[in-house]
Amino acid sequence: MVRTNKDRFFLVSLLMLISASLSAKTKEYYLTLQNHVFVPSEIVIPANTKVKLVIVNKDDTMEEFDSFDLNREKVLFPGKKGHIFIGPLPAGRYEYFGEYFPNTARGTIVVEANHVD
Amino acid sequence: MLINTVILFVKDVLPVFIMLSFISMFHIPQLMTRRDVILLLLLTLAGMWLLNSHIESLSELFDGGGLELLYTVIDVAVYFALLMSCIIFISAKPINIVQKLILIVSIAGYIAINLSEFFLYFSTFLVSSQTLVSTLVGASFGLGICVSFTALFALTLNSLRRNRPIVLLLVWALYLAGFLAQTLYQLQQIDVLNSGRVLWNSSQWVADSSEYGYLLKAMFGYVSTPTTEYAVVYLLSLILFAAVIVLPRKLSRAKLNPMGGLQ
Repeated sequence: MVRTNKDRFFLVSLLMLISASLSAKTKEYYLTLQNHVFVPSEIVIPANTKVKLVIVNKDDTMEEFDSFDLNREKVLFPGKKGHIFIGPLPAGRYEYFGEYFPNTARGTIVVEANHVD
Repeated sequence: MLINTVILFVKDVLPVFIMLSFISMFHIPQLMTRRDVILLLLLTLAGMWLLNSHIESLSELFDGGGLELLYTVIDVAVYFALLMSCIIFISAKPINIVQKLILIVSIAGYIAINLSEFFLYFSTFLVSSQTLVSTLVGASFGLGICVSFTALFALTLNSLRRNRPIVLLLVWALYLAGFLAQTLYQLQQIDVLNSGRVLWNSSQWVADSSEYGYLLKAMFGYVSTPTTEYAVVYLLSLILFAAVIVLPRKLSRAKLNPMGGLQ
């Protein structure tokens, strides 16, 4: 039960904080796998920011997105899309590859400190 | 294709062999009979069949994070089951049926997940006659590497059990800590947990993508760029292990019995 003005203020602040965090949408970046090649092969994202990476597998075989630099692994089913969250990351280059076809399915996520969309 | 199959086999299957080495040290024959091992095998096969037949629909649950959540739940269950069984081993108490079932089901789940990941890869290339031979040869090499390593590792653990039981406990504690800490990445990947600051980068000495990196990750949860929360969970797990196993007054009075229990 809310008893005092102080309690009311705390409750309203809490609700505002929750709604603000829900409405703050994470920026999405898209990656497509076609003919065992990731397109684009290089994605530039801002430093110190969490982003959502949506990966669409247009091939008719499975693939697994893998990155030691990002500590991420995601199974990509044929004709389906999957997503992973990455970051916040310091500026640098982070490599990723497809586990099943590592010779062709490769790419880099470039994290820039002064990134402008 | 051949090299890639070997690498994937080592990456996905070696952790299973390492866990089996520890289980053979701590649980067989004191906690698990031959019948239990057969049950473990059957449950693993059933788990693999279930996972492989429903993996696509499972992955779409919880806004695309179904597999990550399932893997996390099973990994955490395995962690606590192994910790519980270690306490039972040290205290030389008999394991009851519920504890035994928790242990067997969780381990079967873990093995099923790891083997399923490899079988997904395997099934992709087995259907093509061009890649069939190199995939099978690569899998044979991978199996050979895993079996050879496991034999040496089991011998080392056995020697530690007889001569340095405290060191064996330390190795076990590091293994469990690494095992638990690695579940964090699954949760961060689907945005259940936020990623924190990277504490250091040791990839110039041991890269995660190297053979040593695979091995150290499977044995002790090594990552070249650990985050703050990774280090915190790792340390908390070590403290928990010390609290439930090493610290009890019982240990200060008695020596660890290498065959299980305290003397």
